[in-house]
Amino acid sequence: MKIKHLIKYFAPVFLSGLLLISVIGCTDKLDEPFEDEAFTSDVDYSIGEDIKLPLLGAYYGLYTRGWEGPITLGIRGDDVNAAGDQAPMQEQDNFTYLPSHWNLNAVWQNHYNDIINVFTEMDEIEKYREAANNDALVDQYIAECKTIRAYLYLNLAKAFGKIIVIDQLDNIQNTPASNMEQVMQYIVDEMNEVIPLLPDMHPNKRSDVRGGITRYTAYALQALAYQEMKDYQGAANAAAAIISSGEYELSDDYYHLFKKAGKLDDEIILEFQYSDFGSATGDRFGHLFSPFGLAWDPAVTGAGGGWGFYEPTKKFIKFMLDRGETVRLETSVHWTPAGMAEIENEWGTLPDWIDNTNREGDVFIDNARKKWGAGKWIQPSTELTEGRNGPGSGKNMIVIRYAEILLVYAEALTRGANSNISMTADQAVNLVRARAGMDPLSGVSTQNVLNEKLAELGTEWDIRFHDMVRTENVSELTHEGKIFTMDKAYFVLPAPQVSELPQLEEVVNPTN
Amino acid sequence: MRKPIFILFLLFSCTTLFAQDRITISGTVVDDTGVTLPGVSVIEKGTTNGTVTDIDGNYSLTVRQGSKVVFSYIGFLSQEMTASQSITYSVQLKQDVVGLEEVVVVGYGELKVKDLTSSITTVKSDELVKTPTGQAMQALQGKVAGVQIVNSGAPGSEPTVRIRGIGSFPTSSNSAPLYVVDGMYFDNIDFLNPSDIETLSVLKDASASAIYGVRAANGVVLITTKKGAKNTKTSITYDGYYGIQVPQNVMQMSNAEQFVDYIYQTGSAVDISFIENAMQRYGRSRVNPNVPNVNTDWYAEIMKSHAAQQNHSLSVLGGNDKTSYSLGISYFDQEGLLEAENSYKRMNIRTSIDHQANDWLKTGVNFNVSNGTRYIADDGAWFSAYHAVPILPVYDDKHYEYLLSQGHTTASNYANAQVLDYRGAQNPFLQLAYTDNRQDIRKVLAGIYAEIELVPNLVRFKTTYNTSMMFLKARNVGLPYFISETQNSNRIHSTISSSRTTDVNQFWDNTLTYGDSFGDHNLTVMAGSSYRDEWYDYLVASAEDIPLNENAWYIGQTLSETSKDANDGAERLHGLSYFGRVSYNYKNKYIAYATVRREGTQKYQETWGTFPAFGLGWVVTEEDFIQEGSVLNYLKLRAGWGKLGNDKIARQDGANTTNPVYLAIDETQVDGTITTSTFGYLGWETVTGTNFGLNAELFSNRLSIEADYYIRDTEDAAIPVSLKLQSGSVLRNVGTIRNQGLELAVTWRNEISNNLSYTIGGNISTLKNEVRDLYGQAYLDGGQAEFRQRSQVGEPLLSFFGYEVAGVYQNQSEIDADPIATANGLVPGDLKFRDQNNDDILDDDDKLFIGSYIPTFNYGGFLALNYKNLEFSMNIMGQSGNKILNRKRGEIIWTNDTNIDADLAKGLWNGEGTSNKYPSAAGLRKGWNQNFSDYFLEDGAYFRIQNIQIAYNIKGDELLGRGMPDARIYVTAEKPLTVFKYNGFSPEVPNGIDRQFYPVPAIYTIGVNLKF
Repeated sequence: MKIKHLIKYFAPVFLSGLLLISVIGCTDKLDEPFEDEAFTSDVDYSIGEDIKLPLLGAYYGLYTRGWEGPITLGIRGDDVNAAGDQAPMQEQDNFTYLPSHWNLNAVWQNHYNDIINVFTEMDEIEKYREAANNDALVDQYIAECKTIRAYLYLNLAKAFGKIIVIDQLDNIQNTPASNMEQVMQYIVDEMNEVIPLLPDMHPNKRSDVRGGITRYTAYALQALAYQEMKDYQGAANAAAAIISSGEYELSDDYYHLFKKAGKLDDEIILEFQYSDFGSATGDRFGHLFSPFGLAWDPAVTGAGGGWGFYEPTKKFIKFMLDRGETVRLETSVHWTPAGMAEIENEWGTLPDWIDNTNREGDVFIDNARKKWGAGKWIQPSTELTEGRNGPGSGKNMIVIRYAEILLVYAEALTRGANSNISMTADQAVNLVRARAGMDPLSGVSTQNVLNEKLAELGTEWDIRFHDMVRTENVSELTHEGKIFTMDKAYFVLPAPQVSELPQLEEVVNPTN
Repeated sequence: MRKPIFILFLLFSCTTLFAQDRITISGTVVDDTGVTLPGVSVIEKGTTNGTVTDIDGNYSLTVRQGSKVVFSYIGFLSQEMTASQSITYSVQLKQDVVGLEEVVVVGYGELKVKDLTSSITTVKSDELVKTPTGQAMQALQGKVAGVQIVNSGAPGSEPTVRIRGIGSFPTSSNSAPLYVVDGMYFDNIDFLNPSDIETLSVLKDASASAIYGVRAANGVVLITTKKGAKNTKTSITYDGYYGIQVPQNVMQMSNAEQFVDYIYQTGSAVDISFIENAMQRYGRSRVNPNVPNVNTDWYAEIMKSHAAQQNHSLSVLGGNDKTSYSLGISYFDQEGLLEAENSYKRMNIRTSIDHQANDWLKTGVNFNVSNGTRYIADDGAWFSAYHAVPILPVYDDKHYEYLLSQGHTTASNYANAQVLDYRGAQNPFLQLAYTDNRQDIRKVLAGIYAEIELVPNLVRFKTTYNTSMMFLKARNVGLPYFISETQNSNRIHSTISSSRTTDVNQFWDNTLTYGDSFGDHNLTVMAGSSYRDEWYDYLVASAEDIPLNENAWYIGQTLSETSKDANDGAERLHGLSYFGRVSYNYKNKYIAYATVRREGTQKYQETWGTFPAFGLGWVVTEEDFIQEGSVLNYLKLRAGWGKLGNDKIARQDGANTTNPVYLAIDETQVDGTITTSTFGYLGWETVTGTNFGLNAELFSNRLSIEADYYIRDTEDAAIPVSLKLQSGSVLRNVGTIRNQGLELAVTWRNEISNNLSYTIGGNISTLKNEVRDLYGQAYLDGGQAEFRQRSQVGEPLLSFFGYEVAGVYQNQSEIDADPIATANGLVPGDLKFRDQNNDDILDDDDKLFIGSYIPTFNYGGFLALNYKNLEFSMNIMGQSGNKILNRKRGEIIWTNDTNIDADLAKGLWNGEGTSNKYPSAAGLRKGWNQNFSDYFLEDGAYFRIQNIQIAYNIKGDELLGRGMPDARIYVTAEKPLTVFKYNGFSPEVPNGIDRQFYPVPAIYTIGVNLKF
């Protein structure tokens, strides 16, 4: 009886036991790595040539700017209006800053995203040091990263006046804020450190990253930082290093410098590179230029006009007309019929060559949003790759060019800086003027240089605004009904940032 | 557990068998109206010796003399009798109106309702199918206290389901409960046809759901599909309805005249010029010559006046003495409301078979195949329709002819607002007419089980293997159109994105159950293990410039080789757990229940966690001090506590990742890598639930009361912590969130006469959601920076945080008197924000919590009337205490050349005394008034008549002669009336932010149910 039962129940008991126990065998599945993930710890750092990947990652961060970035930085100058329908931008153009303005937070975060990206990319580059077997190259790549970082800090500090210079990524919470002076000194010091490590050539001569950072990009940033500190001797020295290198030359075609032909020109010290790779479809690496565009009848049907958010001021246009500017006015300002009528009415008969059609045959038409376009930011429809109709598809963005450095140099000399090279302030200014078809000046004053900067660099970034802030020229910035006071030099800090990082509310100790 | 122990068990148990004299009893079982009941289980108490009644309700069973025999049947109260001699015992079972004898499926087993110590609400088939929907959970809305259902009207989309509040951070975790369909686990049940469901039980508190471990932190919904029963006659049922969906509460936008009026009030020369352009192009209105001769009501244009919906299902159920079976087929078809390809069709086939193979093995198999096709209209059309200006017509033939004359072969006849100089094309038809998004959704779920009687009547082993597979084929096509020669609003080339997603999940559960009675002590012990493997992967490819005929919508057909792109991805997660349960009751009076689960997951860096639960119950009415015949027929007090982990949180990398990017260097595409600077590291988010409740029956079971009070604490909640300086956030276990509330459900049923009976009932539930701890941080910001939502200790999760509007500056003297107004250059018509700290400066310190999107009060009610063969039922429901962010109005921050809703247009400040709520038209466009304030928040309360149904039952045999089917004919009005103040289509906004979503229509159906 017992045996019989044992046999009878053997099958079920055995089966059940087996199943129960076999589950335990699955435990090791819990330790399997995740699918579809490339962990940094799995990167093979023994492939020396891959060191370029993180470097290009840092450039990727630099080149990917939000559409609101260049606009927000640029609109406060007396050369540019915020047109279109963006209330915060129009209010900022009018020197009314609210901590809740969305674009301020976006500019802040986008810059810091890329700054933090530089930190991680530098760590990654360092990990390839052994395999790369080329200390100089590793040092150069890290120096490029630091130059990128310095550029981003320069923008941020000029916009907000008070920022956090990150020391350690994991210590942001405890890092005190730095004021303008401190950030500029930081940039100067950083550039001193990286200059010897960077390639001594024009960016367009680089074979690995053509158009990338070179020693002169770092000198240029240093010159700009010295200039903000009003250390004109420092600015002159840094600018002189660029001038004396012989690597740079003004383009002889001012108009096309800002078009496709100007990509990687000998004049350019830093530019953001974009391309649709000449193909109607597929990958494209580009910037959203739509906010710069204005309504048009394009020469190429279907080419996108744009939103009309960025408009040269009447003040700037009249300034250019008064000077008898030609190619620089043609390049900087696109006219609509209404815009022509309005200036004619207020200024007088326009020169014959002024027209609402550009050289390429795009006709700018009346639109209530704006009357003039900032031509340096607008690509003619004929330069679009067929099938790519987004405004400026594939257009590059020029950030620092040799002409600016010449004028920084000239201004520094007019303010008493000495130069160890032979070029005089007159020579520097006249180089720029000659290219623009303007007669030479002699005995240039600081004011001459500042005027030349406006004519040469008008509507480009925040150059004009900060020249006026630096010289505390409240009356110039007070224009067309917009009233500037020195307490409006910097945007207010974005509310979301202040609430996260209380140190931004504290007064920064100016004595470091 | 080792085999020898079992064998010892066996030896003991065998010796007790066949020890006493045996007698045979037989008889017929009938219901209270005398109809015979087939399939009634007849069991010798305390043994597995038993049988079921045959088709005519007859049974015969040999038992020990003097033993107790239990007759039980679903829907009827069990009856016990003592078998003293071999005679005929005919038994009349009473209907179990209250449902105490009902068996509910609890985790890995079953319990009778009367043995429950936790809060479980069961909804049955006939209640579920009253709601004409493709989504079973929609039918629960307002019916289960503590369960919030937020519907979407889009065909085939599932509702948002929240059980007892929001315990996990909404953006970082899925708040959906775990669905267990016939033992198989799902995150959603969008593939199930409600008509295939027999019962649906909601396990609300942690003591009940803890046995399901990490997947059950948001509650569990247990679903059993329709099953056959042994020894039942085959029944064939057809159920079908046809109905129409009608848009409800369609939003009123400004008409052309109101819009023009508004634009003139803004004083914007730019916008006024657009109106002039429109008058030039489309002429002037004859009624008002200052208004263009166009008055487009965009919502009316993009919506159909009605859309069809139908459901048909056919099922066959039955069984003989060894095997029971169920099979069925159903078809659901819902058209969308949008004027576009927009529909959902689904066919389901299911079958289940249970078979008693021999005296120790029972086995069964279950299949459910669902084949659905869904056309998804671009939701963006709802957004565009709100913002499109009314002075733009739908079509612009003049422009169309012009474009054609210019040789644009893909010219579109839809009007383009850019022709009037507006920034965007605005016309929502560009989204509707030129996209074709199709999904083919195939789901298969299959399960097989074997139940082995190790020791008869004592120890049972069950092994279940379930697998579910989902194959999703998605194809999104953009058709080319040409609408502007001067703007980049054209789609030059057609686009296609095609993806294949495969989900294969496997679950293997083993349980060993021991159950015995010792006198008045009843004990059940269960132990088990569960292994799971969830594997998801997809392949997506895209291309441009494909031919326009649908049969050529394939990547390979592209005329542009360079546009081809492909990508794939996968995630595979394993989990393993061990669990056990003890349930004990003494004389059915004292009930105790405990479970423990040890859970291992691959998902978190902390792999293992242990989660216990217990429950206690006391059936007061079983005590001697409660006298027979008292008003109180039944009273059970119960308490439960349970803790479980939550794995519905996104898997965290746990380490930095390095990802490829590309950029353009010198016009050449080059590769780079980006390495993350932060990564999430997560341990277990745990949910601890405490529940106190009671069930009571009074006045001869006419009044039922169920009440529960719960506290549900989420500890180490995974919350996205904003990164410093940069954008983005990272998940960390940094919060404690509490949900607490009271749930009360009351039902009164009465039979006035044989012909007339009624049931009336209602439920209410309160919910208090509160952040209890943020691990040292003062607060955590969430939501969009412009519409800040902040989580702070003492406040509900993600409460809206901004200024409080004190009114509108009415005149210049009011401005002059207010230093805030003068400092910010305000003018009359601007909003006046309250200076909370009275320091005459408006800044962050003046911001406060201005509302929460979580409703604090939900209620539902129903009335059912039966008169002879006529049935009437009605459900109502509603909620209050929440705010909705009118994000559509908020969009003006980014784009202001658009239309505004009629309420806003009519309410704008326009001179002293005209409004103290809305700013002036010009003010709408100022950054000051766009500061986040309660101007953007509106009351989310609503009341709704959820469902009205009238049905007539026809007994086929009586009316039409033998062999004719029983029929039930019904008409239903679903959601015919919703009352609310919010300026939107519907107050059903899942996360409280109304930007664009598919509104919920009313549905009117007529249907028939035939039973052969």
